[in-house]
Amino acid sequence: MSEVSIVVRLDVMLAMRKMKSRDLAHAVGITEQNISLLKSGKVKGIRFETLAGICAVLECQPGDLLEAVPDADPA
Amino acid sequence: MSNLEHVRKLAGVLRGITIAAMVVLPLVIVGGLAALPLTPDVLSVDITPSLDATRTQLILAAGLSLLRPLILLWTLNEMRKLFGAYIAGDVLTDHAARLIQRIGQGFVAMAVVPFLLRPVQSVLLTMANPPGQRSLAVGLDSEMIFFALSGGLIIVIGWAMREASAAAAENRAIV
Repeated sequence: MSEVSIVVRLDVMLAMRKMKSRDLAHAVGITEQNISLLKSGKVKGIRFETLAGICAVLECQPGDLLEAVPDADPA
Repeated sequence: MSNLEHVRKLAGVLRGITIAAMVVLPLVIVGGLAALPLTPDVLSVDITPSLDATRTQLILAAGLSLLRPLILLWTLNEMRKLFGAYIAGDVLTDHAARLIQRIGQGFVAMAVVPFLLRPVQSVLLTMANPPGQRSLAVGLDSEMIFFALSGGLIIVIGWAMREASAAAAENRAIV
């Protein structure tokens, strides 16, 4: 079974909605730093509560924010 | 009041007591050494020292007796660091957990060192006796057992806190 990584496409959705990270953070109720970490993919996970909040604000589905990308073959 | 506030408040009080103990303990030891003449009677060893014991043997036995207060001072210093970390809100971290383990190790040493020193001191203090009257004392008292068990418990709690700190670190990485 090939390995996959979850990539966060939050920056794409923010650009499509023409929304700033600061406004999203304020609307969802999390810190701007956490939004930044999410965008850069430097997080181990995302709570359903946070995901639901982002989806509600950006009017999208979780699948629009998260994408499973196959890992590059080390060989 | 939240748990963290309780921890900070009590840690502040305990840090003050710990620092006071760290100041008083050396003063008492130095004062005791300066005030009392170095005779076999003043050495707190549960054996009758030889009246012919040389001054070197007495100084060596007294010096070995200082190991325990030194370990106590080291343990108190680790406790001071831990309380300082708690005051700063550094509770569920690997640093705090390692400090807890060091305190436990200090407690275990407080049990093991006297157990090992007693035979050495008894030989030192009775070496001047004629053959047949020299002694090798081995002893285990309730205080040693208490320190060994408490130390073991604290070390186990330290390991558990390291697990908790790892879980907390992982939780911090989830937004």
